[in-house]
Formats: sequence, structure tokens, C-alpha cells
Amino acid sequence: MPSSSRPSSGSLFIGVSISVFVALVLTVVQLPSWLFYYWPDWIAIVVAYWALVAPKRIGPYVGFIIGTLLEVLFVRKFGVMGFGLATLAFIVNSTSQQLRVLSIWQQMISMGVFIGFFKLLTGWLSGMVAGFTIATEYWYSLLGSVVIWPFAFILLEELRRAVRIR
Amino acid sequence: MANSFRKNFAWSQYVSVFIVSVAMMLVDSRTSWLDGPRNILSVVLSPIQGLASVPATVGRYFTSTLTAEPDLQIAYDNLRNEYFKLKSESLLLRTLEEENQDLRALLAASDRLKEKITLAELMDVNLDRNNHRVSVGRGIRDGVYVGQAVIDDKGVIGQVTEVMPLSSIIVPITDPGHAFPVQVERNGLRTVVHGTGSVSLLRVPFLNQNSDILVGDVLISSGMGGRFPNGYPVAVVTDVKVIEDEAFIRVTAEPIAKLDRSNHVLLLSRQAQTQGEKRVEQLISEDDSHAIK
Repeated sequence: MPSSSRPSSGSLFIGVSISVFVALVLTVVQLPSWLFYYWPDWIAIVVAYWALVAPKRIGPYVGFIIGTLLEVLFVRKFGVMGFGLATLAFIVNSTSQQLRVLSIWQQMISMGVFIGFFKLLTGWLSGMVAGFTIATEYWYSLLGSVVIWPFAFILLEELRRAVRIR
Repeated sequence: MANSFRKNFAWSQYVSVFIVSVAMMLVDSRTSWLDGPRNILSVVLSPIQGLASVPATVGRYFTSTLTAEPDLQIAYDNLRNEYFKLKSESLLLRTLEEENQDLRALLAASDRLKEKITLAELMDVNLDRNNHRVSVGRGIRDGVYVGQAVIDDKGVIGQVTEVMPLSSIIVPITDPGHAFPVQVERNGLRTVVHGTGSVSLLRVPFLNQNSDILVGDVLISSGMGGRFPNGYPVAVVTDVKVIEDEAFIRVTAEPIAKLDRSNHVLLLSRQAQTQGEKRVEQLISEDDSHAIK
């Protein structure tokens, strides 16, 4: 791949920071109760997106850093989210070439599988570390994540384009 | 060639992240060594948290400024009525308090500890849906300490678990990992309530088949464990289910405090006050009330 078509690392950093920040805002926003459990896992979506479009730059390390940041902000046990997001980034990285040629529906399904695995892993680990139990409602947000994926993908593509031009 | 190199690189990244994460999980779940770094990071990241709560704050501002006048009038009338009711009640309370003190003196019992109250504004609620946390804008600077009790005007909210320089984190009683010592107001039966993760549901475990507990009983804090002053309302029993062949009965309760609705909470600190301190505090509170106006 010619290097001119890739975003420079500076603009990539800006793009990732902006999208992670927006995901953070969306995560802590106050919700009506009917939407509460179905609210997507925004951070996972953002990490999966960047791991998909920039697999050479955004990998396990970046996922781990974002996860650790989350653990500080949400006062959770260290290590769980970092490892979960690193795993998600790693899986998406290694399948990114296949994922990119899929139609949007097929992409939605595979993202559902990956984010579901991420949720299973983090839920299980926080069960071991912090005594968390996975309830049925825990899985509802997976539905929200899958439904929102195409829209999030288009918006993030717009963001990437805007950042690259600048 | 280049591709296989890249693959190996990704694997090595992943394996190193795995090792670091497992180490962090083990250390953080067994010891408190990582609390220092966490506090430093949380101070560094506090601007992000502030920025992240800007949209919610702006929304709250607009809903409060764009309230229709009749609504405001109704709210004002309600507050006014409540004010006069409370005022008259507090007149009565003062004589009762004196009487109580005299009686305690007659019995040679120790004085009931006075609690110092700090008003704090909520900064963030529901940080995480499986992990109920509330953060308030009072920290080390305001003398907040870990284990401090938090109430609102109706009842118990929870306790402070983490204190940072400018803010602190409260675990509400509805957090799945939180248990709280209570007793039944009617007969003094002591037990605990557990959070379930739902804002309106608490569980009361370990009550025998023959325990005297009824739907509608008020659970008040029992003061066991020394963390929380006794006598504050915590929850109302909503359901008592007796299932044969089970050692314990299934009791559920609903918190009295407006956990998802209050904007301000009160932090109680336990300390015995001398007459002089009381006077000073009265002066300070008068000062504060001027400042609020």
C-alpha cells in the first residue's frame, strides 16, 4: 500500500481521540429507562472501527490504552477493559482484509460476533476480579451495538475523511 | 514476507498486552498498590470527565431555564408549603431534642453524636450500568473521607468509597456489590440489604422463615459496623415471599432515597461537637446561606 493513501499519524491520533471522546460522552449520557439496556457499547464500536480501517496502526496496544483510560474514568478494576479492547482490536485487525470486502449486513453480523465475544470476555473477567455476575440484560446492548454499527461506520468514515483532508 | 512479519508483530503486541493485563488484574484485585497511580491518573483525566459531562449539564440548564411559569409557580407553592411545615416541625424537634438529652443524662448514657453535614452537588450518575457509581463535587479539599455516609432529604443514598482532590465517588446502596446493615423500624430486627443493580430493588437475604417482617415495614440504618449513624430511613419492604423447603425467605425492598432523581446530596461526618464548635458552625452556615442568596 502506498504511504500517501494512509493518514499521517498526527491526524490519525486526532481522529481516534475525537471519536473516543464522543464515545465517552455517549456512554455517560443520561438515558430514559426503555433505552438504558439497549444503549450500544460505543467504545467497543469505535475501537473496532479504527482497528478495521487502520489495522497497521491501531492494534492491541491502542485498545489497551483506551481500556485503561476507561478503567480510570469509570473506577473499575484495572486490566479487564484494557485486555478486552486489546482482544477486540486484535481480532478485527487479523480479519480486517476479509471484513472490508463484506457487505454492510455481513459486516454487522461479524461485528455482533466480535463485540459479543468482547462482552463475554470482559463480563467473565470482571466476574473473577470484581464479583460481577452477567445478567440477561447485559446482552441487550449487543443488539443496540449491531443495529447502530452501519450508522456509526458512515459517521466515522466522514470523520476520517475530514481529519485526513486537514 | 512483510505480511508474516506484520502478523508476528501483532501477535507479540497481543501477548505483551495479555501479560500486562493479567498482572494488573491480579495486583488490583488482591492489593491496593494501584490506587495511587489511579488517583494521579484520575486527576490528570478530570478535564475529560468534565468535558464529557458538558452536554448533560447544558441539557439540564435548558430544561431548567425553559420551564413554563405555571410550573414554576406550582413548584414554588409546594416548596413554600413544605418550608412552613418543616419549620413548625423543627420547633417541636428542638424541645424534643432537649428532652432527649435530659433523659439520656438521667440514664447516664453517652450523648448522641452530632453529625456535621456538607451539601454536595452531583456531577455524574450511572457512570456504568453494571457498576453503580455517583460522583459529587466535593473532595479532599472539603474534608471528605472514605466511608462517609451520604443521604438525601428522604433517606440513605450510600457511602463514599473514593476521594480525589476535587471530587469523590459514592457507591449507592443499589450497587450489586454493596450490602448495608439495617434494622426493621417496627421491632428492631437486625439484617442487611443487598443492592441488585436495579435502582428500585434491594434484596434482604438471610431472614429465617419465622422472622417478623411484613410488606410496608420501614428499614432504618442500624449503625452496625460503625460506618453509618443509626436511625436514617433506608428502604421499604415491597415483597415477602415464603417458599417451603428453603432455609430463608425471599424479601425485596425499595430504597426510600430518590437515587435517580436528586441533584444534591448531604455528606454526614461523625464527630462530637462542643458548644464552641457549634457556634462556629452556626456562623459558617449563616455565611453559606448568604452566599447561596
